Amino acid sequence: MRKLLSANFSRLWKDKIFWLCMGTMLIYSVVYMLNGSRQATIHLSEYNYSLDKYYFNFAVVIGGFCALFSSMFLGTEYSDGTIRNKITVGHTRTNIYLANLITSFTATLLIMFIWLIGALAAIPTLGVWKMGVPNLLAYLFIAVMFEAAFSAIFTFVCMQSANKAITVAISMLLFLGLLIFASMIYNGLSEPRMTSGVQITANGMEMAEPTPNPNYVSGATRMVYEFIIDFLPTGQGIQMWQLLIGNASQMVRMLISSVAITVLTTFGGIFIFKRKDLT
Amino acid sequence: MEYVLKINALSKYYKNFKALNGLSMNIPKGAIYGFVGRNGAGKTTLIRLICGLQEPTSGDYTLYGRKNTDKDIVKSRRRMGAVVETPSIYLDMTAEDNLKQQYRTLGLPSFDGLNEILKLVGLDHTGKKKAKNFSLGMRQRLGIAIALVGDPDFLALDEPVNGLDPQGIIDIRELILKLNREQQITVLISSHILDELSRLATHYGFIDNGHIVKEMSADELEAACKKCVRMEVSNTKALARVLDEMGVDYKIITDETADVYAKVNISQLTAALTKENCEVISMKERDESLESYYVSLVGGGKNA
Repeated sequence: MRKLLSANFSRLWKDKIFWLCMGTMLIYSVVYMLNGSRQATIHLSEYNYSLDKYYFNFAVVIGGFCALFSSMFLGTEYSDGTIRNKITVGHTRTNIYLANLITSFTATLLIMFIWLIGALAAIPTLGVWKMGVPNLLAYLFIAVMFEAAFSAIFTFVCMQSANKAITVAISMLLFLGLLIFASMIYNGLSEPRMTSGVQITANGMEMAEPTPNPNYVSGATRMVYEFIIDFLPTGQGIQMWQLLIGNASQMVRMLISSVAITVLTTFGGIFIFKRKDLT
Repeated sequence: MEYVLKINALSKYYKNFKALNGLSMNIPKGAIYGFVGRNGAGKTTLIRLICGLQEPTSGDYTLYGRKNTDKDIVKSRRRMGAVVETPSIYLDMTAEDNLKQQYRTLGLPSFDGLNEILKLVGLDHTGKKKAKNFSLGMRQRLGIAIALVGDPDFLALDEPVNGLDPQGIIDIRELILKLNREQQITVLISSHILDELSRLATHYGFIDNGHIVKEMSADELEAACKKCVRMEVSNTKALARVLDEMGVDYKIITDETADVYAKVNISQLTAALTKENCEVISMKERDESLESYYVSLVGGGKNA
């Protein structure tokens, strides 16, 4: 395993896609935070913006970076045929799979760290985090864990398909699918219980009597929605971006979900990969 | 005889297609084993199985004394290198970086010997040129170089000269001979270019429809493909009498042609035939090629 990791990491440091992802994330974080700083300066008195509002934007997009990097990096092993060199000289498939998972996870973490560093550009304008250090650390820990889940999912995809182009397409579509699905769930949960429209009367505009919102998700369905959005890494990302992770039980639920996804996809992935006929 | 690889009734099925069907063969230590068969005969499948890229459906093989079902088979695999179909190289890396990757994969403590391997395969002057810009022959040699990292005792090369130009074929041939003679590396080389194999191999396995139809040494093959002189004469009966008197093997082909399986003194033979009023119309030395022997083994008509 150590030998495989050494080979993977030495390739990682020279990998163009990895550095492209790092560079893109750094530029994105600095531009996004400076734009946030500008908005905050304009509206500061009205909305009381803080660093927190912008700092976790990476949580929504990090899965896309993970999908792109993993499929390109691990897909090369198949497209160039170099995975054969590892098996022929006696490395077990389990070790090859786990080494690839660790490499994908490490790269995704580094891409996140580059965001966290770039995002500090807003500190002179917005100041430091208002959520407090314990909350900040909890948020970052949850982020690390759902990144592990993302890495596990995309390593699973990459290790099953021998066609790099298909791997990249499936990974990106899977990420987009998970993001759109989580967004729909989030929108459903965001519906207010009651709505009150505006009506025009002889006396001018008046607020109508609040009425129950037909789109409000309630009862068992709401519990399922809440479970799904806490379970999916994309759902966790959206909630982190919106600073909606509030209580300890929700945090624990998210962490357990990430561990469950990571463990299940990894066991399943190794099981299938061990039985796969390589060419 | 000591064997590097012993294969016993190995089968590999892909759904209903039998790629290997009870194949058995033995590769002696120090041999260059020519694995001959038409496209789709099962050559690549066998190499994939012994490399651990695929699992057999039934049967087994023993590599350096360890069965494929043995957990320690990975230790035997560390003694082998392979090039399966296309060379397994990172196209976005230089030749040197590709070798360094394999050094790391093997966990070797240093890059000692790297330059020697590059020199051995003739890629020591490629500098920063990336493998994607290499010619097919250079890629093939780089694939072999990677297989040589870690000083393997056994090399499995799948169609290593496929698609190469004549100079590339000569380079690969000389490299394989050098590795076998100077470093005593046992080589399994699959090919359907029979003439090329005949310049290398010390042993042969002929495969057809997923099983070995004949396994033999180069000496045995040479005896089977013995040289002869095809003679065209006016009277083969007279020729037969003369050859019988001279104690020479022959075979009458038609009323006017016969094959003579010996080096005969032409002057003596023509003088003897003249006495029998038999004219010699033509004489031509010929030998049964490996190709025609192969066709006689597996039957013609397909894409051999």
